[in-house]
Amino acid sequence: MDNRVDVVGGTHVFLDGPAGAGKTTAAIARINALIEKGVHADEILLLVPQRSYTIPYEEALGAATWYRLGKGTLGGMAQRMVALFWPLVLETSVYDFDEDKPPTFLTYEVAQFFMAKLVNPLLQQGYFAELRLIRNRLYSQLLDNLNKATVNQIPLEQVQDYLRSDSGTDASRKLLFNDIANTILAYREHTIKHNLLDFSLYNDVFWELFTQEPEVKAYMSRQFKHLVYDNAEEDFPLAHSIVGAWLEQLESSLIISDTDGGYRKFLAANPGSASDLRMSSDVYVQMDENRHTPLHVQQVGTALVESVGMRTFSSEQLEGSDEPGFFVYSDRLHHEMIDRAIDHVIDLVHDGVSPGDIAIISPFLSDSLHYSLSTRLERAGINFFAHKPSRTLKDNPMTKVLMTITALAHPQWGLARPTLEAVTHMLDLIIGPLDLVRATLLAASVYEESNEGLGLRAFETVTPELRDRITFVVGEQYDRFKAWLEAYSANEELPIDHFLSRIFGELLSQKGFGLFQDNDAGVQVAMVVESARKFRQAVSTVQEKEGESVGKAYVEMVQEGVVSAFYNIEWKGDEDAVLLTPVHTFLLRNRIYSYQVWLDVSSPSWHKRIPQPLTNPYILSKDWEIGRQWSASVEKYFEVERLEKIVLGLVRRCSTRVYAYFSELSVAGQEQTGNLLAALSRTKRQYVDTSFRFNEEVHNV
Amino acid sequence: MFKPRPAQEAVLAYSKGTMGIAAVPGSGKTWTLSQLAASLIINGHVPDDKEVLVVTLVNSAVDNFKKRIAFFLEQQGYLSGTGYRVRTLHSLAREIVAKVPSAVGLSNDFSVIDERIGDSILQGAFRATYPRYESYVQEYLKGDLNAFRRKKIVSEELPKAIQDVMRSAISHLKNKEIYPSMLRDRIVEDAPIMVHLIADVYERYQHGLATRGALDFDDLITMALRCLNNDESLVEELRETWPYILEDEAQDSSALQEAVLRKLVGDEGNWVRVGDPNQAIYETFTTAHPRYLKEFLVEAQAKRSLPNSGRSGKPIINLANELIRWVNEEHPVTALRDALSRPYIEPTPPGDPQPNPAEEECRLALIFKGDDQDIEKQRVVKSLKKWLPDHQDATVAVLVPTHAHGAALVKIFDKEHIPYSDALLRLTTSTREAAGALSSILQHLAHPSHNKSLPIVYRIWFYRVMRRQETEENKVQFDEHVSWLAECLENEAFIWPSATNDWLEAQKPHVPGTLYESFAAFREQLQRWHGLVLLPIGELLTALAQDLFDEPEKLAMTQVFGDLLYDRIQYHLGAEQRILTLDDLQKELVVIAKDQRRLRSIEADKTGFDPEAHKGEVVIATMHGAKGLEWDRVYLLSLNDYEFPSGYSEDQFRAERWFVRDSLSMEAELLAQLDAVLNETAYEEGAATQEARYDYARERLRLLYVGITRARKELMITSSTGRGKNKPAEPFNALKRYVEEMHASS
Repeated sequence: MDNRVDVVGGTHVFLDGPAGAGKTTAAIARINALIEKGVHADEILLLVPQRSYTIPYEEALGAATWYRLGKGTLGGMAQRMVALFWPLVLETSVYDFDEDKPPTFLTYEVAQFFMAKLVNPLLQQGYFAELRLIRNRLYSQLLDNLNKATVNQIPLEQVQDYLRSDSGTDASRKLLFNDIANTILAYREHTIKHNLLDFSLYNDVFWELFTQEPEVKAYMSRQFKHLVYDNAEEDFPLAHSIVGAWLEQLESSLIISDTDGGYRKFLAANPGSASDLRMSSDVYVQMDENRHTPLHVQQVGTALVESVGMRTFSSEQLEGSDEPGFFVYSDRLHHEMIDRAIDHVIDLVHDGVSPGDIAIISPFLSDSLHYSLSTRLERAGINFFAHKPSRTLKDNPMTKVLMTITALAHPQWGLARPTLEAVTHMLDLIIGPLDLVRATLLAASVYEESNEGLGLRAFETVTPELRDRITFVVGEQYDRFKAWLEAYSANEELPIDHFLSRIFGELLSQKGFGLFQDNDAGVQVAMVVESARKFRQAVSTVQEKEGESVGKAYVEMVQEGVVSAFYNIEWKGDEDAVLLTPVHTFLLRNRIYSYQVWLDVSSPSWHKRIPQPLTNPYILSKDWEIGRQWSASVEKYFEVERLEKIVLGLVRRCSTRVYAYFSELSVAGQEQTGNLLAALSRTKRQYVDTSFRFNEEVHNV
Repeated sequence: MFKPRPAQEAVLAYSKGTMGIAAVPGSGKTWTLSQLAASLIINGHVPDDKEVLVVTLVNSAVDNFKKRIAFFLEQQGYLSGTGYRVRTLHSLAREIVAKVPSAVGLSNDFSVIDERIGDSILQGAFRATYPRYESYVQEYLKGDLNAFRRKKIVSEELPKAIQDVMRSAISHLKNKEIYPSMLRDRIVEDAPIMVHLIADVYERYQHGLATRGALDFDDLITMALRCLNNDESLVEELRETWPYILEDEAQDSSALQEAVLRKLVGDEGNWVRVGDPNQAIYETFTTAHPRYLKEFLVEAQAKRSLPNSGRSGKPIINLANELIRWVNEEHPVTALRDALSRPYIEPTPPGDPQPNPAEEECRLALIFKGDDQDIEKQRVVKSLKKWLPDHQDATVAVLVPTHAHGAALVKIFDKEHIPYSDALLRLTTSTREAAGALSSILQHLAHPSHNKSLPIVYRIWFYRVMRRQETEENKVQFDEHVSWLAECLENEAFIWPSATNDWLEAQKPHVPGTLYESFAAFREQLQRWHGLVLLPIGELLTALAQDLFDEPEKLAMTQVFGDLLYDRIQYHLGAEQRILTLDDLQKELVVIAKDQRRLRSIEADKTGFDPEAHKGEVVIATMHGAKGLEWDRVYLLSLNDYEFPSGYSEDQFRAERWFVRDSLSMEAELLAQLDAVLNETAYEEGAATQEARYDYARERLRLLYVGITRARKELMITSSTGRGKNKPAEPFNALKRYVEEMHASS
């Protein structure tokens, strides 16, 4: 039976199935069918947990449809509705906002800034005394408590009661949770007072509006008559509640859930509450056939899942085949493992496999791992691109350089003068033909670290011998850069985001400069500009009162190591390039690859979450019962569940073969062993010399 | 094919319960324990998804165990690394904490700080606190110090001594699981003032750790125990995962460490503990004590021994046994008669694959000529000069009580052109090499235009990155290459050539093809390294390490360096609003490379030393550093009453500073005051000092036993007057009489 008929034609449809079953394809067909029936594209809302899930739709729908189609996340919609209905909020909300100020929506970074201002005096009073945590993690985890409480519809006053589940008999933990509770309540009070709406607050307000003000729901229903809600399992309970309450107002809806999804549980994703939406739908469709993964890979993958933990499968599902589907390799040292993995990738490409069909997946993609992989791939002449999730702003090289330029251009802010080294690195990056050696010579010749002004001398002041070495082409570009900064200094200071945007547009992206025609660099600069802009908009009213420069505060925030808010990663990348990515990013990317390379399968990071002493996504969840105690066995349960999902998710996104690699010693020279390796070991004994091959060389596709 | 001796067979027959094994030096306990681990797995005592946990003291032992167990299991179709786990106590503790770090207020990437950072934090805490207590501390000074000396002591030596005591006190408190707030609660109004000092420093120190999100080594064990005590399901999970625990070097366990293992084992669990109470030589540096193993050997359900050793010839075995006997029956200080205990060492039975060296190959000598320590060393040098040329295929070691003695010997050997290895003495070899290589590259990255850096970095690339040995051929090639490279005066022309300025291309017509290719590859590497300069320091070092090192300990040290340097960056940013440059960081690495390190981390660093690889040269080591190793000939130096005191009142003890009144040991007295407060008992000045003397003397007797049992065939023990005031130690005299009597009767 072709389930697509029901998917395309039904009124309120709930569709679930594993990855690769064709759910998104059916959804695209439904949208096209609606358009053909005469529905306007702007009456259709494509709702997703994060924007990257819209990419298959963009690729499949025509440009005209795509342009007009409503699309976005629930968080984005919440923000828009709160902004639009702000006068109503002031009138009716339980929150006592300031009527004389507009709302300011805070990014995650800016929210941390305000949290830091609140928390720092509390630390002096002895709050969090027993805690061993680096400062910026303290801020981000406190915010996570607020956000998780909101999206799980847990009152803030109850957060402490939930978190106490994780205190055991440890008295100091209980004190800690007191501190957390007091801090987040104080933070909420502060943000309300100044109309600073962070993620938790504007979602709370939106829920209030949606459930208590009929005109809001009516407005939304006038705007959108048809809903397609994809990957609902990756969204949070608040989103599900809103969608559930909205359905009856809509003319049609299609809600899609990936059966084994829930990779974003650490961000409060709740597949269970997504499944509840089935009750509000008229038609239930199940697509259970995975069309992409060959049998020999599926079977070993299934056995692997069974070895991991809790599920059992039928003997048919576990029957082996002689066709090799899984290749596993062991080495002693980490770099030996990398060498072997890349050698196999090179072999595949030389055998005719397109690089775009290969994904190299690891638990994390650190800078050093990226370096190891990229140098080898570059040497072999193989295209690649990397997806790396959020890191601290200050660890991003582009950010460092932009902050150096900013500090140079604004000596009046009283920031520490950039070091000679920072200026050297800045020049190296921004001046096109420059390299590190010549940048060192140049910076040493022209930069005066002790100078209180700009501190840059003209290129002509450099000795002739050095000018020759540095080259006049570089000198010209440097002088242009200097002149630009001097002209800027002579005029009125711009807001920091304007400054960054302007210097990029007028100078750094121009021919002869290092960021010319560099799309990646452009994207990174754009992210920093956006970050700075949102910071400025949010902070400027407060800062004006305190007499400090907003730009200076931004630079200082970056230096303190605030986490980047850049979750909205550019997915597209290069279609004909090997993908390097951490495992969660790969799963959220939701695409099929012919060949998957799993690195470091002995690492416990495959199954371990990132535990945080101040918060817990499983406890701060609507599924958690207050009073239940968190324990190692509960932790283990979730670890097993996580690894099962990861393995299933990976296997279902593989259309030819899996290569898995491990080393006895980690990159830090330490022995490591994890649940995935143990599962592979058990599976190996089951399928040895059939679909599971160990340390066997492969030369054919 | 390994064929166990009867005593080993008895051990291998084990399948459940608790078993204590007393093992003499050279009895093959590592081999036996590895066999036991493998057998338990192969014979089905360990279900598929469970593991045998092997716990040992040092990383070198971890490597040994893993290799042996893995080899056997791989033959049976197991993937290496499955079915067993080998850990040091500290890495086990770390793993336990890492299971539920949030339960003890940590994030998952909590770090265990290197001791240098710990010392730095302690120093900061101490300096902030000490001025308030300075005048009280001075009450411990001798009354007859002249004004000038007193001033110097008050400003320099006394604070340093007290700071060292703080380190011991904090360790002591952590091992008792007493946190700063708990200590505060116990301090009553009339508590000794020094206890207040300890409490203040402790509080600041812990705060320093907390702001770094870090633990120190002592915290690790404490936190592990806390995790286990707070979470029964964690305990159950671990008991299920590790149904068997095999513990090596159990004589070096502390009460806290034993508590962790006991918790993991439970009342019904399976626990095998192997050790030699006579080789407990780390007491003074840690809270370890052999009494825990001794008590276990009494309480265990099964008691075994491994008494046979094929390492040494009979004369040496007999000497070691005589030391035990004399200590037990005749030591003039009765308090020390429990320092050593039986079993005696027995030679291997006839037909054993490891027969003892023949008696006629053995030689024993105990020599004292009234020399001071310098002349003593000269005598040893003379002896070696005679012996070495005829024994190029043999191994020899000179074992000394302290690093200072070792350093003095190194100078003499250099002067006298005696071939030697001080790898064990320079116990930071791996650390220094790793830090040296990394700091050289960092220096280049900080100053890429300095052409003097190129040959240095080229050396690192030539040998390390290209994995070449330092053979004569390679040295010749390297020298040739470097002489060419020295001609390059403009680094940019080599590393980043332009169309009009390419140094390497200009050389091409004049140089051999291999040199050109080598330089081209080197250039490519440099360009890649240049691309790393903007990475966070930890990532930068890790990336470099992947190119440079295969040795696990160097990779591990790189992580430590990254943490250390990150800490320095944060500190300077916070305290001085100063951003450290690569130049600053490489200087820090150089300092690290030169630093002395505490024994615990030194031992962790000493991996894979093989005496057999040093034939024809003399290995210089401390007696501590020699543990676990063996040589054909061994010299033991400085067996005088300073290095091996007997607890007499006239003996001098290292821990007793000369400027302190009444020969008190500040450490012992302050710890005793602390214990008196904690236990609400009376404090009596001087008692702790005396007890500390006895403990130290006992440990030195065991150290002597370890020294003796390093020798296979020939053992030379010498004594000296030290700097002129000392006399031979009591055990030296006793053993000398024994040897003389033996010779007389034969």
